[in-house]
Amino acid sequence: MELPRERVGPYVRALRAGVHALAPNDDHVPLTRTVAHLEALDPALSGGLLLPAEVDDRTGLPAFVWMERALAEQAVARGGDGPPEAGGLERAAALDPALAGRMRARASLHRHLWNRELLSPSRLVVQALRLDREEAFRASYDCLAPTGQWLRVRADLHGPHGWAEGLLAIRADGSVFADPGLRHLLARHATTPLLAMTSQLAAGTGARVVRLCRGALGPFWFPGFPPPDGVPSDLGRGLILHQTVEVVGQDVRTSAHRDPLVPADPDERPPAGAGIYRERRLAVSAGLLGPVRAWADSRGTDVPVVPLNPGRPG
Amino acid sequence: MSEGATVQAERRRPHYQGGTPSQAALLERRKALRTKYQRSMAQVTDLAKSQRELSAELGEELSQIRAQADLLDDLDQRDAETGLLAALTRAFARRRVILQRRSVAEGLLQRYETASQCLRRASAFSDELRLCALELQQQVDELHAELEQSEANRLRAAEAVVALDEAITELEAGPAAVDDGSVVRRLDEYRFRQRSEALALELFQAGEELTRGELAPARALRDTVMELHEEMARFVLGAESAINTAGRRIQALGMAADAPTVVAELQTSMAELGDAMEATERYVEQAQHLLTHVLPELNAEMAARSKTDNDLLVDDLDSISRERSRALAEQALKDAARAEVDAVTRRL
Repeated sequence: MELPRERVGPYVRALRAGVHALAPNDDHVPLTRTVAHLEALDPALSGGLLLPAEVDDRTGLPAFVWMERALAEQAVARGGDGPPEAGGLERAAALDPALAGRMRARASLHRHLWNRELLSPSRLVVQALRLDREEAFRASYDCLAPTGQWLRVRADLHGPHGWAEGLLAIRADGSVFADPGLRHLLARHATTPLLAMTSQLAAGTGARVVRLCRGALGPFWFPGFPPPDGVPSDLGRGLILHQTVEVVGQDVRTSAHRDPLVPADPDERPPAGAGIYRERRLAVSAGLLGPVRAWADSRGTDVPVVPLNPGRPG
Repeated sequence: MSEGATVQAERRRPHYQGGTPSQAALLERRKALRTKYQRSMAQVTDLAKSQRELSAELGEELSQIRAQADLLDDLDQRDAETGLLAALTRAFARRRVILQRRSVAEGLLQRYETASQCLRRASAFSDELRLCALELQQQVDELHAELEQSEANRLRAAEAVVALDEAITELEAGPAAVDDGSVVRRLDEYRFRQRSEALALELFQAGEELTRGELAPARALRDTVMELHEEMARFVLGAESAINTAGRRIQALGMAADAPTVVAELQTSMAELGDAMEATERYVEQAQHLLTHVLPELNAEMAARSKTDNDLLVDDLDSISRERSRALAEQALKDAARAEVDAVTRRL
């Protein structure tokens, strides 16, 4: 769906306030990147340059094409030899105010994008955890997922010395080079059900997947983008931003399912020695705290809720 | 002796807009106009080159997106391979095959990102073209204003020349016997002033012709850039729509991109890209034509004009006779009267 122009600013700022309220940790896409990306989309900064404001029909988050325009503009902003300059702005101001407005917006957007990192459609970072008789690496894969959510998948991959040869290599500066195939593998399975993804990663890398975590931001329910069927309709009166985390790993001592939206799968069995933990946190605007808790109760689970104040984006 | 003509001559000391003309100022003006034109020409040539490069790059990216989409068919076919050998190969090289198998959606995504960057650059470039077109239009406006000023000045100079000529005739026809020397002094003064105003008139005329001569190439440059801008804006709109559609599909396909069921859907959006690519090719050809024909022709015209412009410049004061002054002034007055009639006729 496409947002009317006058709603774009309030929408982006409300979403930003929600992200701040949820204060995502390392299991999720980084807060600074998320906020910088949303600021870029705000017409207060970028004018009409990145419009139309397309919202994902499934999640209510900014759609991939809208997000990607900011990334493309960033690549252009960084294309020069130095920080971008607003060339011709004064000349344009004297000749055509609309053109000058566009150029001014482009200049401020480029200044914003020049030294900030944004959410990436597909980004993999690998770090070494152990390099002795056993070699362990943590792969963090961020993406704007096809489901319309913003995802981070973190996989702790362990194996005997040399298992990662040909797949991962330590560079001279200590960083880890990952074969592009690993990113493709993670991209293919980023939204695969958790246990199936564990198997696919193990098969694809030859490692033991000791811990696999998937953190997701979204959906975002707001007036005009109501909750799906099965959820009380009065939750559509305000703002609700979801943040979920799913973990399968040996460090999960007790399996738990704290998600009122997605029911637990009664047939799901964690691997031996591991547990599965699922949680949904919600940032909720004033007036909805009670109804949200009542809904979670009715689903037989509790849900961590934080207040979302769109007037205080953080 | 009647005082009428001489009184008028005294009163009609013309005040020229922009000051009294001089050859040096005219030469300076010609130089400034040439420099401005050359700067504009260089700017337009650069813009046309950038436009050609951008369009070509975008065309290449669009064709790469299409090529990536064709991989879907290959994957589909390879996955469908059966038989003992195919099954054995898959089992033995499992990890290698899993890692090497590139997600088509990922490949498409990368191409899409590059094409999208091209579009953003094209969009900014379109604004640059708009600014350049506006500036060139401003130059055309300035030339018109200058032309009007020169015409008004030429008319004033012509009126002054005629008034002085009549005053000289009156003084020459007056009774010489009673002259106490003042008539000779005034005759000298009027003759000098008549020559000066006649020179001014010639300089205004030369300036007018110079300005008029600059108008056509300035207009041509402005039209060229406007055309570039209009084409670019249309092109960006078309390509943006095709790329956005492809982007939405690519994103929606995600991991499912490897599945044969989505091939047909993606191929539909690729057909839209095909249209955008054809438009790109046409656009690149136009930019090429502009660079290799239109702009060099404009340049050649200007170079030829520079040579003939030298003939426009008048010589020194001594070369201007009273007859020539009178003839020039009468011509200027006739021109002004004709222009006025033309203007009235146009209004009717």
